[in-house]
Amino acid sequence: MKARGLMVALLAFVAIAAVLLPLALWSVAQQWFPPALWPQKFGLRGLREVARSGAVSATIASALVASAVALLSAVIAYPAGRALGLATFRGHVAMRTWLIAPALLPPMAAALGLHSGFIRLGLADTTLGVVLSHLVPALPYAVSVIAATFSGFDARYETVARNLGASRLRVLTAVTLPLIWPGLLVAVLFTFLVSWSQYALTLIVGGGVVITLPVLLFGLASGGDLHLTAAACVAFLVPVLLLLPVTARALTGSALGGRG
Amino acid sequence: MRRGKAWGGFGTVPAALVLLLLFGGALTQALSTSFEDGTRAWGRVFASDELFESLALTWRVALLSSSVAAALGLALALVVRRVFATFGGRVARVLLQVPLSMPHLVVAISTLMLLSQSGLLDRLLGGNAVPALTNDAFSVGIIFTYVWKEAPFVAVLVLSALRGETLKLEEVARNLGASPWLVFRDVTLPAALPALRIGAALVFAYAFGAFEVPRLLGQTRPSMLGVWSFRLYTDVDLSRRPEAMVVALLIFASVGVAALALNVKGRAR
Amino acid sequence: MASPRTLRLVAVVLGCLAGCKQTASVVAIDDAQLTQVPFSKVTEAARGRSVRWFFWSGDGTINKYVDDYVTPMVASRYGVRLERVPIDDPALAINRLLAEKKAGQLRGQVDLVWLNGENFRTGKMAGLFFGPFSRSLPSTRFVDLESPAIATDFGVATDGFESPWNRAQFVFIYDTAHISLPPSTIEALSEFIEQHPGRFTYPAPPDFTGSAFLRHVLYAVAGGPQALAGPFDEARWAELSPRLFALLAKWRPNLWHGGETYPESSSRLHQLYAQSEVWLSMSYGPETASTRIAEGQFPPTTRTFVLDQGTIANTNFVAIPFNSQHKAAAMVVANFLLSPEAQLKKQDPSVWGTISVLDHSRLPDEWQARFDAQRQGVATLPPEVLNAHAVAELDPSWLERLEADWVRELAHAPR
Repeated sequence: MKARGLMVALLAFVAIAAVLLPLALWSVAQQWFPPALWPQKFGLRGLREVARSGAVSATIASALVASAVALLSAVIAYPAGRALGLATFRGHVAMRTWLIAPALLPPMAAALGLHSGFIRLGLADTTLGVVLSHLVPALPYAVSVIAATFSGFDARYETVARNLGASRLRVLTAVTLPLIWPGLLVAVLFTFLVSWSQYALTLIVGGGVVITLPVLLFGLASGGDLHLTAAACVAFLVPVLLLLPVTARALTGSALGGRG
Repeated sequence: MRRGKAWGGFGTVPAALVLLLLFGGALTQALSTSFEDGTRAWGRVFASDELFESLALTWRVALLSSSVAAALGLALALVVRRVFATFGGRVARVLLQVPLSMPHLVVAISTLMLLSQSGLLDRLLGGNAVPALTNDAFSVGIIFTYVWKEAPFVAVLVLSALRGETLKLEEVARNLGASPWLVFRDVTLPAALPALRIGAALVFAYAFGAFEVPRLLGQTRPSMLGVWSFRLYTDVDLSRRPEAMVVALLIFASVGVAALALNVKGRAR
Repeated sequence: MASPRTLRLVAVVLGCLAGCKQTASVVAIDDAQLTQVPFSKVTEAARGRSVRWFFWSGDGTINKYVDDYVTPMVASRYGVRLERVPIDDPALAINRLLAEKKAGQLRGQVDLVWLNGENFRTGKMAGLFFGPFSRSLPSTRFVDLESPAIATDFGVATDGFESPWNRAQFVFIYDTAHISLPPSTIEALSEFIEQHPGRFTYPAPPDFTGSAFLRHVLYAVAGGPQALAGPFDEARWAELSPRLFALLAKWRPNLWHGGETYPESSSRLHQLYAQSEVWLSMSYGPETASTRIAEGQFPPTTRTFVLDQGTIANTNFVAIPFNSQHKAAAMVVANFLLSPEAQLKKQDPSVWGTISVLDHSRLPDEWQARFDAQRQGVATLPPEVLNAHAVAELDPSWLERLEADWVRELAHAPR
């Protein structure tokens, strides 16, 4: 069993490394001509260029926006996901369709559609506008994940607690949340990542004023210089990968299967 | 106690309202822009030679990507579940989350570095060894990108859905003498199905409408619908912008049809 | 409730902060007046203001020139804070301005744009730019305003709505390690393609560079650039296009990836060249090759060449959006960019290496000497060679047909 586990880990490692390795190498490969399997010259020109381009402030902006989106999504999506996951109510199908549908709208269309309206409302070029625009792709994800979580949830636990005299709030904090928090965490994480990676929406609604990491880095990456492009990608990935051990530990518990 | 059941859907109202404003607003504006020039933009798109080819290519790539990602995601979830408690299993679970945090474009860039004819795979095999896997007619590079990035996503969704009672039910079924295949077919799969459906639908939707990945890894023509829309939007001829919205709306409609076909709305539990 | 002492302290601090912000100019000039008042007044109004310059940022060298030279210079000399905003494609800036114009947004966030001809044309026709302003910039006296490369941009009269910044000329880039004698005519290029299958391609129109390449082939087919002067002529096109497309179709099977697909931009072509998938690249920047060699991206054996028949030269400009809130400061920046000092620095290959847009003969003697003494990058052709081989742009009325027909004939994989 242990050996099998190690094999699975090894396969996962190879699959991940296959994609991460080229990026990592190119980000420090100042000169790498074929047919060489190893760069001829290493250097930090790419990373320096990325740092000079305001990567730090863009990272902070991205983190702020993504956190706001994740928080808002969790709050708005929780009751929706719960309703969809727990019971069939009249209009269940239609409501589910409406709440998932925004994920189907291509980001470009959403961005263009929102932009003109936001200009009139004074939300264009603002962080608030960007946060609101990110809700369009993020909410469906949050609703889906929370609904999926609640579909495995037995509401009778709550009924029992209520019957035993617990207040609504107490039921929520003592019964419901402890049982579903892993799913909620997954929802928060997903919406954070959806917002973190948003390009078209931030670019158009934010108008170049709200500069998040994708906007900054995809601009750098358009020059055809693999070294610079890889450095930009690495700058993008490092903050999130650094958080991985933290989020993974939280998720590693009963969220992903566990003893349930 | 209150008599009769209040409408169970009240919880969905805040989300529905927010989306009505934002998503509904975006959709309305997109529609209105597409009709800016009367029906001319719609006419030009539907009469163009590009439409059929682009639709066909986009359907093929999105369908392949989502089905392979779903199948692989399911397999991954099951494998990881088997070794869940081991050290290796824990490591695997963490590694599984890496693709989730990577934007598609970054994965696409890496795919190019790996699979292009001057890429690492070609150099590993001695040079001039690799056929066209990027910017190719079959869209190998594009599908690889989507599958690598999304199979773990589906796996996480499935693992989340298989939490709880499923393990116990599987054990019960096994004790009753059911073969592993029957356990899978009648217990595991139905429990995983809602997650699979949603996962596949989201992957399909993304693959169908994206433009940055196919712009990097696809061919000049036929191009995927998202690339076509982006090209129309950035065309110096501004009168093509309504056409860009038409194509974007076509994408949305196609994905909607696919989602309905997948029966994502599905039965309630 | 806070004590009076605390309140006074807070008031003092707030007053200081407000006072510190007073380095911003109190002079504000009406848009209509900006081009009428002496430039010293414009400079005064610009002090303390910021300029957001929307800028294609895919080239680290250009970014460095702006960030490490222009930005500190305009800050120390004029008190203007220049902020470079990276964008993927100037078309996005134009689209944004258009949306703002439609929505009646008069307080924009964009103060300066760097654009190429097509985008300027679109913008000017839609009334997206402020001006005419360039004649009121002091540096403009060193520019040859009558020169067609300055007076018109993509078939539209510039009319002072944009200020020149950079001179560009189409060059081919090749690797001397693989090619000893560069193919300097279209016939020679044909032979090269046949002898070395898979080693050449060009960016698909409507990419700017790819479209320019096609124009060179069209010039050759027509018998020379002078044969195609003037606006689009249907009869001429009917005569020339079959020959053009027959030639391109003949090349096709021997292009990169069998001609089934083309790189979507010149940047992508550079990447293919850098990795030796192809042995030739092309660029509107004569200095691009030298810069990329210095960065380690291109093989050190890279050099450039122009066609015997000449290659297309043009100018690129900066423009000020109609709704910029800091037009005075933007004018100051545009003026500095055009100054002999900034142009000389720009021509230094260790900084960037592009050709100055100023008219050599209009410069004072000491500046002429300084420009003459400037060396070129290792792969950059000297200005004499470039100027001797410079030809005019094709009238843009040809482009729409050229690009549309190319897509129809050649974009799809051969069936």
